[in-house]
Amino acid sequence: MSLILDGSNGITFPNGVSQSLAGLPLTGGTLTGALTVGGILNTGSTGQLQFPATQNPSSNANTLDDYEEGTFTPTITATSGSMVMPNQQGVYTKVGNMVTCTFWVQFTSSTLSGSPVIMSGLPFTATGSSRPSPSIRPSGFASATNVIGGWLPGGTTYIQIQKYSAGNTSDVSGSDIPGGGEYGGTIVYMTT
Amino acid sequence: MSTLTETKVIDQITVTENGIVLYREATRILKDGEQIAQTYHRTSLTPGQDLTGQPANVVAICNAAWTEEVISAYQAMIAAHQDV
Repeated sequence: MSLILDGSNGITFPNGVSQSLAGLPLTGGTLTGALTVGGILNTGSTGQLQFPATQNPSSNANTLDDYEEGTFTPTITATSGSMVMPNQQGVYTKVGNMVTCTFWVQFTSSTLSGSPVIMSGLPFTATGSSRPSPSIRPSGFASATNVIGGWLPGGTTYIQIQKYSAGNTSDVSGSDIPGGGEYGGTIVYMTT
Repeated sequence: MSTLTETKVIDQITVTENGIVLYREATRILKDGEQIAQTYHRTSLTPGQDLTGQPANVVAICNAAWTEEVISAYQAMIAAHQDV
């Protein structure tokens, strides 16, 4: 079933009958079928579009099917050792299949060793193999370590932190983090 | 006089193909029993990771999903990503 609202023709009901919008008591109710809006969608004084708490996924490339805001807890780890992290803050917004995360991890000491060093805890798994990279503001890494953002492998929820030297990138290791510092930034990536 | 209460509930748990467990905790503010606000906090857990402090129902799902094979495959995937 579909109901068509058109700025010129008013409401067209499933049986083909049209009626002017004027005078109709449109104060509430639920439409369970498709609604086609022929003109501008004006949400009035509320200015809000609400999506269900659980995504109703669409395979149509022209359909917006999800919106969610929230927080997450970013955590930095390596193959062994640990960090003292007095601040672990992350916020995200998901629009359709696009996730935008901002994060900040402050650490006061580290016994991490081995590589890779990763920042885990992203709120959704990444899809595809395009290797999204964050823009970051690192602090507290070894002076010879030119830390760059790193990358987010497909199918995972972590950023693999990397460094740059002589034209090559390689993974940051625990020894590149001698003491306190920060790792904060933003990453945009695709999910389902 | 109105009564405000806060509840927390795990309202979504997802296990991905490679064993990552994602869950969402909803914090709901109720006024006289009716929800007036809601916020979300998401957590992702990777196969084999320490589950200390995680909710019991999430731990149960992790323990069911994280077979030795799943953990080994996930660790192998991480190793394959090194220095690329």
